[in-house]
Order: sequence, then structure tokens, then C-alpha cells
Amino acid sequence: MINDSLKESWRINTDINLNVLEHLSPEMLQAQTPGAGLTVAQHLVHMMDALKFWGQFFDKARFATIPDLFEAKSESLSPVKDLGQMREVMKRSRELALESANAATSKGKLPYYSIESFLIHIIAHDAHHRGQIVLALKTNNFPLPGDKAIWSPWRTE
Amino acid sequence: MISDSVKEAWQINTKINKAVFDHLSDEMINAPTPGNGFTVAEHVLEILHTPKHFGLKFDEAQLGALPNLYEVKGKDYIAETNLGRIREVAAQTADTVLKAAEAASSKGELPHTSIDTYLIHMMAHDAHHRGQLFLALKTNGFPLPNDDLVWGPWKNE
Repeated sequence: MINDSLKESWRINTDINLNVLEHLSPEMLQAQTPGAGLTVAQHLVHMMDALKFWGQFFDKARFATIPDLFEAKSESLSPVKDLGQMREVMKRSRELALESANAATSKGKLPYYSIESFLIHIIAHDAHHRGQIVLALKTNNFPLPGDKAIWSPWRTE
Repeated sequence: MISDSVKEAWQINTKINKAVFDHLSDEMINAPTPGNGFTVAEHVLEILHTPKHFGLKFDEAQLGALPNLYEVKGKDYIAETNLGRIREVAAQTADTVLKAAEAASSKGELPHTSIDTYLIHMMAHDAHHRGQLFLALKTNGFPLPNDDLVWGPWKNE
């Protein structure tokens, strides 16, 4: 059972991720982070994969149902390029995590102090990668999602 | 007035910020983010000033007493580059924000639905700027802080 303010923060963070996904075009997904970093698609897949990976430590049955968003291509893993699928998996996986965290009676084998700490970590992890996605877009001359998309949801004003 | 999990997460986030600030050298502090973005010092200012900016809305006395890490020159805000001063104000800010949040009997004029949500927003804000700060370091040929210091504190394994 998680507290109401964390539930609300989780929903806000999900909305921000969905706002970013709504802003993206297929061309933007291929933009690379400066310093030979991840592409926008790779950041997004990593964000979704991190939740699935760690979530299975306390609720394997639920988290294992989250689809993998990468395709095995020869020796490397390539992220899928279907924005519709990415949006759907982002939305569903975040709802599933909240349902699971709320229903959990123990943290199982999760190597965090609590399920709540894990969820706050994922919120911070997402924000770290969104910061880098914004720079990948900027340095590849794509328009950026505005403050209204990525910061305003935290506030009620 | 805050939940135990948010308090614990705030302490973890403080530890991560400290590891990043301890990693910085005088040579790194003026490194610019690609795309004409913030310097490392400006990211640090964002991380340290934003909790004060919002915190003033629920505890002006305690948060207002925190030092500013900038100098105003005309229309420009010049970020502090002295690492000793940055580390000192960082420790003071993290501690004061937590004490004020714990002592608060209401959220005052804070534009968040609760003090917990404000603190989670600040942790996401920090992570966003740390993500960009790392790219400033990387693209200017500086080493990055170790992953164990940046992500390890979230886990208790």
C-alpha cells in the first residue's frame, strides 16, 4: 500500500512521459544524445525496461507481462520504432506498476529499502533520461517539448 | 508533515548530489552543455536554488535564510563557481529543506498538492539537471562520477 502523495507523483511523472512521447515524431526517435550517447528511442526503451526489470523482483507475474520494446537484430538489440506502441506500453506499464505496488504486501526480493523508494527512484531515473532526450532533440535541431509538457504537471497553478 | 519514504528518498538524493559535487573540479565547473546550454555551475545553481524558490512559499523564515549561489549583473544571474562554497550551501540547503518540510503544519502557498509532492518534484528536477550536467562533462572530455555513486544509493543491496 503506497501513500497518496506518491501515487499522485507517479501519475504526474507518467503524464510527463506521455507528453514527451506525444511530442515526438518518428524522425526524432533516431536523434542521438551528444557524446555518442543513446538515441531518443533507446532512452525511452531503457526507461520502460528498467521498470520491468526491477518490478519483477517483487511481482514477477505482473511485470513480466510488459512487452519488450526492442528487437534482436544480429548481435545487438534495436529499439522498436513504433511510437503508437511505445505510448501504449508506457501508459499500461505505469498503470500496472501502480496497481502492483498498491497491492503488494511485501517488497519481495526488491533490493530497495521499500517499494515506495523504488517508485521514487524510477521517477528520478525517468527525469534523468528526459533531460538527456531534450538535449538529443536540441542538438539535432528538433523542437523541444515545452515547460507546460515537462514541468507544469507538478504544480496545481 | 512528510512521509517516511519521501524523507528517506530525500536523504538518498542528497547523498547523490553530494557525490556529484565532490566529483567536480575547478576545470569542470565552466564546462558548457552541448547546444549552447547551461554550464556545470548553472546546472548546480538550478539544483540548489529551485528548492529554495518553492520552499519560500511554505516557510519563508527558514528557506529565506539560505544563501543565494548567484550574483546579479544587469539582467544576468552569474552562478557561483567556488566549489567549497557550493558544497557548503548544498549541505545547508538539503538539511534546511528537510527540516522545514518535516516541521510544516501546512503547505502554505506552495503550488503543489502537498509538501511530499514538492519534494518528489525537486528530486526529479535534480535528476534532470544531473543528466544534463553529465553530458556537459562528457562532451568536454571530463570523467563522469561512478555509477555506484550516482545510482547505488537508491538500493540497499
